[in-house]
Amino acid sequence: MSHVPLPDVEKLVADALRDEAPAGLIMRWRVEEDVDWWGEPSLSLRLDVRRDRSPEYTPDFSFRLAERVRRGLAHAGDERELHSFPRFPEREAVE
Amino acid sequence: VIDAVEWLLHARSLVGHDSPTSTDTRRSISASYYAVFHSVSDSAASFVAGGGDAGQVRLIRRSLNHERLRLVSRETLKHVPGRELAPFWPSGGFGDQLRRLSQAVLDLQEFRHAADYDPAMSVDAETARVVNDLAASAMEELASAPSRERELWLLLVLLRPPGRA
Repeated sequence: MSHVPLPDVEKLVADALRDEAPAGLIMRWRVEEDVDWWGEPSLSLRLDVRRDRSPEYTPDFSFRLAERVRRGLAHAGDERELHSFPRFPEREAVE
Repeated sequence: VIDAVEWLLHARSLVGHDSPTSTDTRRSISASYYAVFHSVSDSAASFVAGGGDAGQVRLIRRSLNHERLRLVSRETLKHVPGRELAPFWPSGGFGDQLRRLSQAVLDLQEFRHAADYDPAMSVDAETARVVNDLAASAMEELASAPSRERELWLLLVLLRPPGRA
């Protein structure tokens, strides 16, 4: 299985977030090359989400994000799964 | 009786008060995954042994395992399934409900493993509530999937065609 280089993955994620995330919902994010619990290569997306808007972080949003990135990766023969891990930090902690 | 809805209610109750502990949030995430796992297992038992006795239902429910559920969920999300499952795959793949369920299964498994075993995982109650919602949504997707499609998916989760190690 070929793996898309991390900067290209980051571009895919940035594009997906730009198109799919409600404006201003995601304060910061980073994507990491990871290994899932089953020992297979995966991608972990760490998202800091605005705590006061947590209801906007929905299963539908999470699914569309994963679908977008999956399509982009699959196009390059990369079958890794992207798992999103949201956090909802207090505003003071991230400003 | 293992009631999937009760597991979800339990998951919500653990973080549904003012000051949940870190154990509450971890157990809530774990119970969210198990709500979905038991929902799939219950659905499979209803389909395969719906008219059967308690022993048959038990056999089906005990046959579901996490690794197989993961494998079928992963394949469901691919555009082209692997060789093992391709001969049994619906033309055009599975529809939106089962794709959403599959994504939720994969995400919930990762959350659950981290919540149960990873001391470095930092998780607050808001994250646990999002995971509760993800599980609730997954259970609705399973229930609302077209019945023939759901039945095939459940069979693929339960049965392992020959030829795979």
